[in-house]
Amino acid sequence: MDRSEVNEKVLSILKKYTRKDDVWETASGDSKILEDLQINSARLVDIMLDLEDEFDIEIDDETMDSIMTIDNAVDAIHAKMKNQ
Amino acid sequence: MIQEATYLQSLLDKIPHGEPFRFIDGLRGISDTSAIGYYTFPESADFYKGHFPGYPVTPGVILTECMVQCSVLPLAIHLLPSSADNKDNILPLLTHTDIEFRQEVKPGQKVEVEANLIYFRRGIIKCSCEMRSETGDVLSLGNLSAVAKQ
Repeated sequence: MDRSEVNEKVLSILKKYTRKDDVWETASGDSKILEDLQINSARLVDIMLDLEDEFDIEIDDETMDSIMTIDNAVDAIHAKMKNQ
Repeated sequence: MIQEATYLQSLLDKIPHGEPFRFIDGLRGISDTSAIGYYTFPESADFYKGHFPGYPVTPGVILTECMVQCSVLPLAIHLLPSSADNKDNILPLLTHTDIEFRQEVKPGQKVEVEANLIYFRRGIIKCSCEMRSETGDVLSLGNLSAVAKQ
């Protein structure tokens, strides 16, 4: 799976957790998941579990802590998939 | 499933809620993946006066709170490591609810709530929960998440 496919699937999962559609009007790879997309931090575990299921990977707490932006998530997942 | 009375009472003692916002009478049992608690809604509860005048029925928000107190919260306390600091001073805060209410719960009705663990990770617990009547009818069900602050 190439990076753009990973990106598309990550966005699709994140969209399930945003409460306001207009946050996506200005979203980019640099958008912060909590601040810019206004996702509740308490949903991060749900998001990580969805990503694990979608990509058949494990996301440990250290990786989770390093994911701040959309691009961070895509890069982390893409790297894990390449290493599998 | 652990059903030893002393242990179950020790979990009850750690639930911080007090009257008039305590909605658990006891626990039937607990394991590392599930918990079952019970509660009887008192006919004298204040909220029945307004919900609704002449037709008392338990509000959904109270049913949701009862589901948390009877099952999710005891399970979180049980799963916290025994070495956790301030295990006796847990402040549980609901973070997400997705509950369907199927039947009315009337004053004086006894209910049982069962939670099954979906995950307990990074201090957040998520469970699928079901509230049932004494005859086993499903009254409400869905998923609940809470953070156990210490």
